Amino acid sequence: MRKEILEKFLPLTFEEREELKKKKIKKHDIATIYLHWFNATVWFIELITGSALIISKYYKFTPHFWQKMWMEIFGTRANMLKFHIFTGVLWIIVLLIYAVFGYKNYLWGYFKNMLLLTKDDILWVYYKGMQILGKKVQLPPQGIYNGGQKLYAWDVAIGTILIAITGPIMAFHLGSVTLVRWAIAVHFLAVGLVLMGLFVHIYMAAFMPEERQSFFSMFTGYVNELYAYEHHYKWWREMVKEREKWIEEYKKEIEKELQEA
Amino acid sequence: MSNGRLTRRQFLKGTALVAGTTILPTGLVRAQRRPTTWHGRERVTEIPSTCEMCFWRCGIIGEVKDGRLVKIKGNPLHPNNRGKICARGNAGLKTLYDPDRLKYPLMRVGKRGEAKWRRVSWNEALDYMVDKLKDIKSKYGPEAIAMFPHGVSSRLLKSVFASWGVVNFAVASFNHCKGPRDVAFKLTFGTSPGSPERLDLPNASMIVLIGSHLGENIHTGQVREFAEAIGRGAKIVVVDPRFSTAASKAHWWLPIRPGSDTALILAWINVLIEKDLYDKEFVNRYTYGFEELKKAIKPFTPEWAEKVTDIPASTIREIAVEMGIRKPSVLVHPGRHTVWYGNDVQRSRAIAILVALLGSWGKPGGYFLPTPLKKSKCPCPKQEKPSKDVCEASGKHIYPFHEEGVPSQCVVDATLTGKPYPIKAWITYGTNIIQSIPQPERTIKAIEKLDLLVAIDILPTDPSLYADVILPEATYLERYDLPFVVSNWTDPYVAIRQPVVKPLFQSKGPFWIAKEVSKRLGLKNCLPCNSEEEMIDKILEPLNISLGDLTNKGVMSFPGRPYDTSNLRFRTPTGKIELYSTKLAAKGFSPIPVFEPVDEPPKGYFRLIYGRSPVHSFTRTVNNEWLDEIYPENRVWLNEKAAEKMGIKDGDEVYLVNQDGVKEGPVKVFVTPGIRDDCVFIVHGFGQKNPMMRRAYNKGISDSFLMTKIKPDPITGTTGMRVNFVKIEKNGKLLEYTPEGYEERLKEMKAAHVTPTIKIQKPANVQPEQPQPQEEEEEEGC
Amino acid sequence: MTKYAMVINVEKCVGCHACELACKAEWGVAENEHRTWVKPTYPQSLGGKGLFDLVAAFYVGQCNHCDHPTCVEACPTGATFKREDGIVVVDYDLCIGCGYCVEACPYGARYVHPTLKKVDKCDFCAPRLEKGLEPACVETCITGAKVFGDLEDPTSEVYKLVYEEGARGITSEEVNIGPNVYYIGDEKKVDLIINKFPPRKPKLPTPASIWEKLLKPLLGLGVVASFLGASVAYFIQLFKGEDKFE
Repeated sequence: MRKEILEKFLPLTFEEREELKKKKIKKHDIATIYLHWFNATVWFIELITGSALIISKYYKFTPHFWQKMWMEIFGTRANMLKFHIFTGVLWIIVLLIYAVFGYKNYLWGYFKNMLLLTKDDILWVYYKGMQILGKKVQLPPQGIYNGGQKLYAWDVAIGTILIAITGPIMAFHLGSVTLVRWAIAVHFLAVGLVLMGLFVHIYMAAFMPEERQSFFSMFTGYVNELYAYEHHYKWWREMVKEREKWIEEYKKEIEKELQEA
Repeated sequence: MSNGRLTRRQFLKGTALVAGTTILPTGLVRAQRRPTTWHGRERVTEIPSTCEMCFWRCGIIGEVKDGRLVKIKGNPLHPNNRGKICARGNAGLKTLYDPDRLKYPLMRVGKRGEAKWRRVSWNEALDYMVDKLKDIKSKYGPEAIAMFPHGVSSRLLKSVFASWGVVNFAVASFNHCKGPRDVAFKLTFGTSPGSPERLDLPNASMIVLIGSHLGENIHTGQVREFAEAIGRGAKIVVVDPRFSTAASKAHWWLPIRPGSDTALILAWINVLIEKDLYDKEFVNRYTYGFEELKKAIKPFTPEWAEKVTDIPASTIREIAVEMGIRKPSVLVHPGRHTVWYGNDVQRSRAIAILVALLGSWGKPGGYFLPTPLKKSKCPCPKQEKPSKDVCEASGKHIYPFHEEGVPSQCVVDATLTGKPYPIKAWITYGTNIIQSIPQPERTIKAIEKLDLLVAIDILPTDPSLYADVILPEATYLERYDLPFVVSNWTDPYVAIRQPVVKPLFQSKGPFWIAKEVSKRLGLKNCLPCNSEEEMIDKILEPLNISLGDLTNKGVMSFPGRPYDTSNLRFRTPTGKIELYSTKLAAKGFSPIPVFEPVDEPPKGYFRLIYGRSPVHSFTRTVNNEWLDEIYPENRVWLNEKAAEKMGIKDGDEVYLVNQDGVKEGPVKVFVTPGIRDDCVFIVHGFGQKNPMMRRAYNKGISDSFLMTKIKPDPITGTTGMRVNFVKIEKNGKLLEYTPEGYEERLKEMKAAHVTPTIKIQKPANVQPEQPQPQEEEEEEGC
Repeated sequence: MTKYAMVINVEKCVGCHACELACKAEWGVAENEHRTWVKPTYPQSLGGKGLFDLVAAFYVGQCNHCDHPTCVEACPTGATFKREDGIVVVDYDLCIGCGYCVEACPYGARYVHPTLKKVDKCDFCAPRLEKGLEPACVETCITGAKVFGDLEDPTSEVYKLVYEEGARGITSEEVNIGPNVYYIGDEKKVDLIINKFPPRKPKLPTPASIWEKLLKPLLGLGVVASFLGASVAYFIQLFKGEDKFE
């Protein structure tokens, strides 16, 4: 590996690419993977039951058959609402457990990696736009998450907080009638905002060929270094440096143990 | 209906009682299974009883869940209210569970009016009360004790005191309510219209209400029948200076000048006779003194009446003719609260005469006849020779036709002055003497002179503020009462009041209280029954029914003979309907009613008239949560023209100042076209002065406090109350209003004065007065 | 088919409030709130000659169980719905007490129960009807002014009063959503009630109208656009095909 690659983002030779392709690098913790899929499942369930619950003229956005079908699956609409609330409460509890016990690793990590926007992130969004419009541009190097993902992370973070607050207000009538009235509108608004990003997120993460690594990393936790180098150079560089440090320390420890033995 | 008897037979079969026993052991009564029903989505037990939110005594059913009353509904078997009850009846449970209820016997520790109390046991309270009474009796005699009883539950204690020699019973329902009309009808027909009044409203083709605001005055059975008559298209005439609810249903609303009702009635009689429209056959057969009446009535023409009443002569004539055509199914309502101007017996007499001329006595659509039901008593024998009551003893306040005890103003006078003899102890039972007797400032002064004031009630009403001993009575939902044997209904009935729930706190039923007092007074033969159940059984024995027959149904009705005139008799000296009253003549009163003009309001004043709200029974219900919610305070009805001139707007807060400078307020004004401009109207019962009534305290104003003047009827001594006048004070300024043509009116009134042509003398052809078999009158509420 | 309706005879009603309290006792209606209520019009002059030309009546109000209930349209959870027998009910299991329906009702027949936190209103005593009992207000009405029954049954009293004797619901030119509480009696009195207590225009509370008028279209557009964008990208991907080697 050329030394200067660690200093600056440069095009790679074929050999280098093949070499990097073979190496795996850990992108997600087990806990993150589970949380992601738990979150996804909850969203799936809540979107279905939620959309089937909203039946009156002013608010409904799904057809009658859909609502009827789900009502009949649940028996009554009251059951469906109870299930919706139960799932939502479970979701909030799980998120709170992550936030409390994982405040160091996951809450701070989420903030640091996903919400903290750098100049590169903003530029990335700008250049990505240009790229989509067909201009040949060089995207600035990115951390573990790129600018687009970070924007979606903001969307999700705001949406989650709003939903987790307004949901219980509606379900358990916390506060005044006026508060409940606003909670309904905010609940719908938050879901809509997240939904807008969700389609892009699903397409970009699961359908785009170049993001294949990223998609499977949500199951395995690993990506290959070539993907990391090309898409998340800043993160890759950090990881490589950290890994070298770790290897040195690891080696010293082993030697120490051997000597003692 | 005979289904009552059928039920009894079934019941007897079912419980396999030993033949011949009519008295059920108490245990058996309770062992009967109660019927159940649905309350909301819950199963509840039904316990029938009788309502006491007013004194109409509708049949009710309490819905009870786990010993708690959850709802009250009407008893569909009850022939009077037929399963219907009014707002007050529905709100009864809020009186039962009123947090302000009297819970324990209390004795005063502070000064009178300070409301400082000590909680005591029943023994201590009763011992203290009886010792004090004995003291007073030994010092001043039994006449130094006065009682103010009201309602059926007070009857037992009243009989105990009567047996002990007490004579001064001031009965509110007679003095402040229906005394004049009862006496007037007795003088004319030998019997009162009864309570409930024997009015065949559903069959009436024409109903005439004179000052009666049926509809705001909710007597459920009567209002139901009134509505039935409206539904059948009966012609309604309402005589009232105010556009009452009844007036809004009427074909003719006659906004009469207050105090001139007698003139209108006399004019109607005049037209009926002049135009030969009266029931000749009836008059010939049953009445006495028609010729005298015919002569005496001559001057009272509609044209004369127009000047006095402000009602066009043509209208008076039109209505009289309508009455004449529709007779005998024309119902002229006798009214109930008839103590207006101190000339009330003569006005009620005029109504009675009108009824007689229309021949509607004992006819469908008129006054039906009672079907007497026998009953016995659980008596307190009179043990001592009664002394003279305050009126008799005074020698000057003699009201020859006063019934049921003594006029309350006589008791108050004697207490204040010590003449003719001092009165030292008062016992109030279920009545708010501060608010129900006019001139309350005198009542309060009199109380200050007392050695003992005992208040027996369910709520801390005004008298308890001054009482030495307060005794908490059980509410009507927690107690037995004397059974109601009602012959004044088309199908007469027997109904019971029984506990729907156990008495709350330390409240006690009337039987227990009376029994304990009689024991302490050392009266041996008084109330010879061991329990309330036994007492009820004993009273109903002559009817061959017992409490056990009624415990699950609450009521039993019998076939009536309301129109059976085959042996129609009148308990008058002449044995006939006395158009010319021999009794009045004998006592020196005008034997045929004449019009006596009442004092017109002084210049700038309004006459104060009062009435009821459909959701309140005087002061009794103002602390009820639900009724307070509907009608929390009274408002002053003021004519819109007068209001405009005085610069008063709807909802303005004002004070009322009466002719003697007494001020009540603040109170909101209700500006309306629906009242004449020479009077103002408020609903009675508000302006509670006892802070222990936390909900009702100081809400609205008290009409009683504005009544510093009264005019007793010379015939009965009943208290005329509509003789007080008020001005309106707004923002500290006393406003004045004089109706248009005020001076002319005064002149006209003077000119319209008719000297009676009748000479007062004992008619020769009549036997000297013989003692008449008195109908047993039971003390009723208003 | 059944279609329940109530007819109020304004000639018979004396404004005694018994119906209001029987209802209160039966259903635990909150303090100062009503499922059914009585309001006096008070004496009104008809412009004739003063004292002799007055009219007054009592307005007995309750849920009108309308043919086209605006409350049902306004309910976000579908807790309020119209049953096949015409009764508009609130399913407490679905109601979240937001009170959108309270604003939408032209008759003010609904309120949010302060302790239950659910919307409460007249349901013609549906649970009592199931047990074969009359509505509590009809049971207690001392003058028989309240008549309840089935409008589809030609033998019923309400059918007669509505279709033959011309009982009228409270409607205005602006608001007519097919009320099923009717008033009969002197035309002057019925007119007075309708004019004095006209139906108000159904409203949506601010958050609901913001959602309805602004957020729903905007967000809808956004969601659809994002979905379409992703879809188009995928179509292009399908068209282009994917690389064989990476």
